[in-house]
Amino acid sequence: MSLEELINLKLKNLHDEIEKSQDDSSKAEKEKDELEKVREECEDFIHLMSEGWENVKHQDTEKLTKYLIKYSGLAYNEQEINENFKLVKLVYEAIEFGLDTNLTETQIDFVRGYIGSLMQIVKDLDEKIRTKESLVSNTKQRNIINNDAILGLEILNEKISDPMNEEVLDVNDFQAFYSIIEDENIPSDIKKQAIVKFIKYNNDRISNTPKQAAKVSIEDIKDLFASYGFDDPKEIAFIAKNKNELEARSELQNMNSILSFMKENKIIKKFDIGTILSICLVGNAETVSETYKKLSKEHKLCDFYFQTPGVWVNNSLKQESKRNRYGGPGPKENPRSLYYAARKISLEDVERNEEFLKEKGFNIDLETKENIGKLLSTPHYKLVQNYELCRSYGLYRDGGVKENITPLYGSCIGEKMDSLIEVGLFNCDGVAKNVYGRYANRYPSAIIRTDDNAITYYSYLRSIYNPDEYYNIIFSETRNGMLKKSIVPKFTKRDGKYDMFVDTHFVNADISSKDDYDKIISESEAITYDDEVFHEKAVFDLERQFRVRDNEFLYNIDGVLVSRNKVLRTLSILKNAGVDITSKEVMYAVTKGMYLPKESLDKVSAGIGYVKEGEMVHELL
Amino acid sequence: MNYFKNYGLTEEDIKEIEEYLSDEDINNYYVSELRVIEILDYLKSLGIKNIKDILMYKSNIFYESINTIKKNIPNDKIIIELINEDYQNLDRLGY
Repeated sequence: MSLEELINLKLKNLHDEIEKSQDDSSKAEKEKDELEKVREECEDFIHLMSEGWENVKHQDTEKLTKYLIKYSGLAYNEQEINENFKLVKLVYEAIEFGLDTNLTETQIDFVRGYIGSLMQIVKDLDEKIRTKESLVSNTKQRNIINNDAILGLEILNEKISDPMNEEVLDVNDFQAFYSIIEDENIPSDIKKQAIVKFIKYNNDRISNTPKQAAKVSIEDIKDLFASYGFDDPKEIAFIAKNKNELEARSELQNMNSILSFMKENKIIKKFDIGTILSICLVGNAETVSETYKKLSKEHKLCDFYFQTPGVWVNNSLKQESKRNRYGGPGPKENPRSLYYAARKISLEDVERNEEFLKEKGFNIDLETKENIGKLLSTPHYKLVQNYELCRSYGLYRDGGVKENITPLYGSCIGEKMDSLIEVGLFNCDGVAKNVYGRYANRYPSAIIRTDDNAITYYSYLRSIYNPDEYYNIIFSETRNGMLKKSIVPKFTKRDGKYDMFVDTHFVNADISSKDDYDKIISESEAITYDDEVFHEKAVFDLERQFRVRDNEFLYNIDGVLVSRNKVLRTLSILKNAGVDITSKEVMYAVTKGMYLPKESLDKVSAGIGYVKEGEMVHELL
Repeated sequence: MNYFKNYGLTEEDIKEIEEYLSDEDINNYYVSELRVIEILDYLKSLGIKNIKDILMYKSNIFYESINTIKKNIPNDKIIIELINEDYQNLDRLGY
């Protein structure tokens, strides 16, 4: 059995196990809900009766008796109990009517005994519910572990099976592989062989032994495509340009089946050569046919889909958010490849994006998929995360116009919005004229295109000029409300000038636990803050002294603008991780991601009352 | 992305663009080269000069089909002037 076959076997077992445990878990969950409902009804009855037995008149005692019989396991006589209750209810109706009557001793004993039995049932149900809860929770825990194992094995499988991937298997891969070794259902001789193959695989990579010889020649591929009408010199040149990848990854028969299906269904010329090659490397005729049938049925056959290879192949990107946190979608793939194009988005993600945008009321053309290609191609988890982030910074508010969609597909837009606030270009109502202070509100694409160069340079200018001078320098004199185009120096990170500029003009806050805090923050997925953070005295002081009036996004610490969302989110994450919030943590949160010259840093330290260990105490405000 | 050189970009410009863009955008310029060329040819034919800025900061345009681009960026003197003055004005066309 090859390594790939063994991994696929293990993957199948894990998927089966998850499926089975999910069935068991949903059954247990359903049973738990039912038991909780019964317990609630019994408790309600007991409570009402404790307030007065006359309440029995309006109670459905027949239903409760059925519960009593079902859950006590004792042989009660249902008919006799119902008859007894009829008489008890009759007595109370008579009393209500004004008759001078009361329950007999036997009836009192009956009701008392009935309530006692129900109390016992409640107790028994508590125990049963706890058992079900623990079953559900254990299943969830086991599924998390199994899903992690699946993720690791999928990445390992991709590395091994990809003829272009020459990476050495690392500790994460071995961790994933270990789930096979641990599996008691796999015979030990197969495990032993697998270990030998794993080691050989790595030795081959280290010694640069090629994975396999070219399967097909580029000439065969060109001929095949020419026979389907792709014979324009530009198309042929494009095929030739991708020779290495095509020769390594192509299956001629598979390509032929895909092209043949497309031709038969008269869609072949709707694809461009790059898209079609990409589909041919990752998909097959069946996946193409499935997508075609689905899109035809839903009347969605438009340009967007013909330009997006990922929707025509079977992409298992369900755990993409998780993969991304682990450092990218699986093995590091070269973006200058056809394979990458087919792997970056799935049909499922596109559909979820479409649904999400519709639901949120975006004013975009979802029917013809115009002007939203990049947005629909954004991984769904990222789109949702960006939308929530934008909302927390005041964009896309309910009832507002939702036209500019650019920030939704950006990367790290939280940090970018914080930076724009801190250089006085976003949400700065109350500290700058709207034309300047709401620049990025007016041009939201600034959120994704303002790079580190611009932020560092604006931070520098803001620290040496007063606000009026600063805005006069960075904004155009002739084009109202637009930034000057060539004011930011063209540093590149490669020439070292950027680092030199940063080192020359800015200083670090130098906080002792910075690395630990950075780790906590990077591992968190929090988008906004918990209100509990306001219970911290340090936060209360910050709010009282530095919050800008009628502006929920800004602190102004002696002229230094700080993103309030950033500070509260950071402190909230630290607090939830069990860190005590003191002036040190506030200093960390305030200065996080900022470029501060010494003078500004001193202002912030003094404002917050932060004293570095071993230094003299600043005067507190 | 050497084909950018046909639109007045230098080797250094291309490196700068590659450094700035996400892997997804680089991949789009790579795999959809022929479609990107069609769009670039159209923008050039309109008289748009700041091609480098558009490739760098408005990569979303190159996820569209040429027909959509022709419809959304019409051959209108004022629009072209505005875009040439500042690529940011593409925001006004929904980009």
